[in-house]
Amino acid sequence: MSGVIDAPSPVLEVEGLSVSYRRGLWKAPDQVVKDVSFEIRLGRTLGLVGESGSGKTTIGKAIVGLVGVEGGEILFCGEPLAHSSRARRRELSASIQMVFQDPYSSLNPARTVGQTLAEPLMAHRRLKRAELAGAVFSILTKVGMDPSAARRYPAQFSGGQRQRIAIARALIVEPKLVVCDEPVSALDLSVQAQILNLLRDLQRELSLTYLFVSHDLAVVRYMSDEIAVLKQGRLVEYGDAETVGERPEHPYTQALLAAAPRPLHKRLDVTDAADGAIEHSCR
Amino acid sequence: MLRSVGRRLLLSVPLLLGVTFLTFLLEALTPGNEALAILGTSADPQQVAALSKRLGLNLPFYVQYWHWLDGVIHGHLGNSAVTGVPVATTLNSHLAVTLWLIGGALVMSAVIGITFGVISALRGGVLGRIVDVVSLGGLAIPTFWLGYLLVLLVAVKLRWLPAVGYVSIGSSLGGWARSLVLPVFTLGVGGVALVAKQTRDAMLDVLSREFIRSLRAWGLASRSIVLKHAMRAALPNVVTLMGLYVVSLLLGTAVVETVFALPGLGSEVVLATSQHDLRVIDGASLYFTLIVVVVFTAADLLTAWLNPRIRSGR
Amino acid sequence: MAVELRAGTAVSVRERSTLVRFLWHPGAAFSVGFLALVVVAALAAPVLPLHNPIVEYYPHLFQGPGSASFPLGTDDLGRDLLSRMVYGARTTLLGVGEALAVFLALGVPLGLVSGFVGGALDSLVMWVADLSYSTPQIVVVLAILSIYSQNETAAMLAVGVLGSFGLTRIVRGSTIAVKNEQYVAAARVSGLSWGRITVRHVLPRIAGPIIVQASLFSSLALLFQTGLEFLGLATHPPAPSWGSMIAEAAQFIVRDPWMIVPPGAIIALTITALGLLGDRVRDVYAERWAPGGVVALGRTRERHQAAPAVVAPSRAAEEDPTSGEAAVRTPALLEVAGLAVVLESRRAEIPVVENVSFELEKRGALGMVGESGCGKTMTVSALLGLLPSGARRRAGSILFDGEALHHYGEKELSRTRGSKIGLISQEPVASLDPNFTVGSQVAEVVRRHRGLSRAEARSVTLELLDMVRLPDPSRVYRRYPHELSGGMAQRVAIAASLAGRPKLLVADEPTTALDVTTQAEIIALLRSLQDELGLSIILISHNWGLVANLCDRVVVMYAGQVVEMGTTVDVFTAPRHPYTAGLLASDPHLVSRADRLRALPGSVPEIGQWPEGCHFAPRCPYAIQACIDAPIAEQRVGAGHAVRCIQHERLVLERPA
Ligand SMILES: Nc1ncnc2c1ncn2[C@@H]1O[C@H](COP(=O)(O)OP(=O)(O)OP(=O)(O)O)[C@@H](O)[C@H]1O
Ligand code: SF4
Ligand SMILES: [Mg+2]
Repeated sequence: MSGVIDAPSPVLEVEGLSVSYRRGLWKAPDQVVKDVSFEIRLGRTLGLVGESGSGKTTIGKAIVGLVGVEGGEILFCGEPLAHSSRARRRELSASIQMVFQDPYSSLNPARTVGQTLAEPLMAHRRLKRAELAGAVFSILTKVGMDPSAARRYPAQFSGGQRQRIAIARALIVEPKLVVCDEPVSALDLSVQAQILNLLRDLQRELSLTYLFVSHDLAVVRYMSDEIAVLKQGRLVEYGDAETVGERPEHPYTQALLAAAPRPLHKRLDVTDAADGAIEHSCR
Repeated sequence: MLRSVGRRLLLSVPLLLGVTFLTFLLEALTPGNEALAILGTSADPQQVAALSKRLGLNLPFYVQYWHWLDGVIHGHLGNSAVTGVPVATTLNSHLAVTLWLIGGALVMSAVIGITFGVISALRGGVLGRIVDVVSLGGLAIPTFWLGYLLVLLVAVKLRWLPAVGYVSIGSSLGGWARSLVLPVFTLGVGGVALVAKQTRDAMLDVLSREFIRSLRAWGLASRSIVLKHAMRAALPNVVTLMGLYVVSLLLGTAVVETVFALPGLGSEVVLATSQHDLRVIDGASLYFTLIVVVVFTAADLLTAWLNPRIRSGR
Repeated sequence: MAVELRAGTAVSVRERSTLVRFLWHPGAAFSVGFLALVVVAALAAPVLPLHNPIVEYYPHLFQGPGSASFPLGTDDLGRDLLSRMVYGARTTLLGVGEALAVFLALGVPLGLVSGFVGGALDSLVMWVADLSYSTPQIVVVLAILSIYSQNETAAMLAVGVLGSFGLTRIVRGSTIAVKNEQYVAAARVSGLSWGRITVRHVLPRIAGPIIVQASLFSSLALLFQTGLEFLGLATHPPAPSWGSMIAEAAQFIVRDPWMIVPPGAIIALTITALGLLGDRVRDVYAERWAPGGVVALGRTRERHQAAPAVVAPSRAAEEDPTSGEAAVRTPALLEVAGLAVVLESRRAEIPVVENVSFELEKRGALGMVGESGCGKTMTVSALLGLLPSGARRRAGSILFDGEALHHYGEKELSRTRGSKIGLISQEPVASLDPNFTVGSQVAEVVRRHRGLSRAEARSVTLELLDMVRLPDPSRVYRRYPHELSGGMAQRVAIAASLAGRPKLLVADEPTTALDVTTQAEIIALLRSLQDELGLSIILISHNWGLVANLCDRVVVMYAGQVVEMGTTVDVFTAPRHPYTAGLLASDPHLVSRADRLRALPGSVPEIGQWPEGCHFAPRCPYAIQACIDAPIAEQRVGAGHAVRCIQHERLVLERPA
């Protein structure tokens, strides 16, 4: 991976990003993302790992404009987004999309799959009924669902099928960049594999660029070209997937790697390392 | 703990000022003024003007309000326009009955309502259905109707209890109790229904929570699980509801006092309303609001005490 | 793709229109019918063949019900009660309608804005709402009535204004809840404006709570209004109203008790109807907005009625292939045989666990793997008698340390729990009672099992907290659950589970909710406790790594059955069931980035939709006709290695080198 000669241009550049949440009228805002920088090139995947509360989701939300940027800049194909107008943001939503973590709450249970899928299209273009239906059918086929799904409600689908629908909703506007926020962590292992395969197939087919957020280093290692490790809002390690995923330098990444035991190494040194960790964290 | 009481006080002062001010504001829109009410509609206009001036009724209403507030701080609520008796004297003499009624209805709805609610949450089935029906019916039957039906049955037909009237606690304890049984019961039925329903919903919710399962898994006796742990978690909801219930009880006391001819605040203020006796209404609004403030503060203290997040103050 | 299609075709009740479903209920039908009748009668009163409500038919005083010209009788002045009631309904309708209109017109927009905008505006609105919540309505209304004498409209408008803040609160709460739903975030990411989001996603969602509140408020307003009428504050004497009819009747209650019945009954019925309406709307909405497809439960076909699809129910006793070795092995601590658990719904029993048998040695550690919904939690809940309501152990025996737990009633089981078998669960913080300090909870468990004094229990508790390696036990003792991190809470839960010195600890996904570094610590703790206390452990986990790390034997479950069982090494290195093999192959831990994951197609079937034959057949790459025809029995394939597959040989033959 390291020897790419003709590196494609960056689709997304994040420079010194910081984000804060207000906890109440009187309390000082709480900075959850601190001075984070990275970039993703066309057709590549950047994996973002970290434990819960480390700010992964918040970075994703800042990129799609769901939370405001406090400091730093986000460049999409060279265009600065941090302070762009609401109208411009809306236009850009055709190019930057997001897949959410929970396939159960990310689909409105009272709307049919077809209505849900048509919604982003209608926000951007004036399409005729037949064109809409055509787009919905073709995207459903693309994510491996039967087109008849369009007439049904989310409750009639399993978690994996719902996540396919959620992916279809993100892709129907033909975006360039997709922020995948823990798209498989609510899914079972066997279904997780299907979705990971699907995401990789679609990436190749549509030359998508992914920001792939997960707390699972193994999943990130499998999906990404590069990995960024986040701890308490700061990047602690950032580099190509092989190095970060196999031979990390930062102690935190090493701890993450060691703590996720691999099945076939029975009673490996993992727990010994973990025993050490207890001493460490309990004092 | 302190914080939640502080919050309530912060709300109470504006509430007291707000309600009394609102009363004055509304009265300022009065078509006929108080002097007319005192002297009668056939009075000589000059006399009316003179009296108005003496009573300060010509001043802007906010000045009048200010004077009234000043009086309140010194314990004067003005005199009744109709009887000339100081308002504070009248209201104080009527306060006891109303407090007994409210207190009685609260105790009744807490004791019976919580018991019903817990039983129906635990047992479901037929018992649950019965509680459902009782709570639907208890809410649906208008207080005054129920009151008369009870008077007809218990007092007139069976002659078990006096139909109407009030015996003060000082003159005869037994008579006092007998005179309050029917009114309190009439007033409390709606509360029982409300509390039972709320308790049941809250208990069902708590019993399905994860920690109940783990308490069972650790082998605790189900008595302790239900009566100590589940009740404790369900109670704040019930307490909050009881606070709101008291606000709605105030009209109920007026009605019940009328039905049973009890000399309470409610019937007094109803009389004042039909007589345009504004000073009495001002005073009563202060009293009623104070009752609400006291009850809400108590409810807040109780919920805060029940909630470790507030109690530990961390 | 075939599998996906089939799962999708599960027809659900949801397809019936909401309105029809709403009315398909006796309470709802009654209330809608009754309210419609009242409203229509009130509106049409002038054209209905009724007496004039204020004309006094002199000789007919106090006429009881039943006569042709006065169906409900007459009052003290000879006025027709029926006509007075119908005309009274006009007054009621007007008053309640005015109050309701104000209630909605103020409450809904204010709640929406407050919920959406948030910040200082929201705080202000909530402050005003708090204020008006505690305002005694009667004071304001009486002040109004003392000025606008007997002006019911003014009074009811005031009731509406004061009540509207309650609605504001509810609408705001629901708005915030909907605003935080991921589908609203998704709509924003899709470029929808707030206006469209409100119309498409928010309003439909909060319509239910609004209707519920409106019906509740209407009945309160009705009671308030009739109360005022009763007190003579709201209507002028000859005009009919329900409240004043009761006041009139009350004067003659001894002479003519009947007079008080019709007006009271109509008020009670109207309020009942409003209450039922609200309840029904609430229920229908709750169903509609439930995220999961629980609806399917009630409609399962009853094909599982027949005896559990088992080949040899008594397998554990005589035909156990491993029983020959029993003499050499340490005696089992736990023996589960033929365990079946069903969910009981109105029409059917749906199996959730079928014929599960396994055993666990003293000091052994058994892993239980398999995806969600395969029955792992149900299986261990059945051991402890902790099945959720609706679930029932239908068959099977559970022998624990010589005791037949399956014969125990709730009382004996409750004594077993904690003292013989301990349980720790997935959500560490949620599994502790939020209202008590963690120390007092653990101490209560200690006292229950060891009958100690308070002081003794306290010191035992401190020892336990120390044993699970919590730093500074006496400080942790005084903490409340919300003050602990997930990892600390899980340690406390472990301490409480061990308070009764159980021999077996069941850990149901003890680390799923924790961060990876904490996960490893908890597993290490379990392992050292196992050594120190001689515990046996059952570990349920999705995580193959954790199981491999702690357990010497593994049970793999799929759709309610044990499909493979053996030593951890055997199962992980030489799986004999296609499901086990498939799961291992889809674990990204084991695959390099260059390879494609070998994903199993489809997903675990919902309960009630399990196939007749092999439960795994629809997803199995090796399935043949024989797999579909009949239930598959467990077969022994090696020492202590059993598998529920008729073609387990093929896995050995086709395994890549
Ligand atoms: N809307 C919000 N308002 C206030 N605080 C928030 C909000 N969303 C997230 N946070 C807080 O911000 C921090 C970072 O959150 P974020 O969800 O981005 O982390 P994460 O790494 O994705 O966590 P997880 O793995 O649990 O999803 C956390 O402390 C979280 O509690
Ligand atoms: S029995 Fe048949 S369908 Fe079932 S797992 Fe074995 S080969 Fe597959
Ligand atoms: Mg997250």
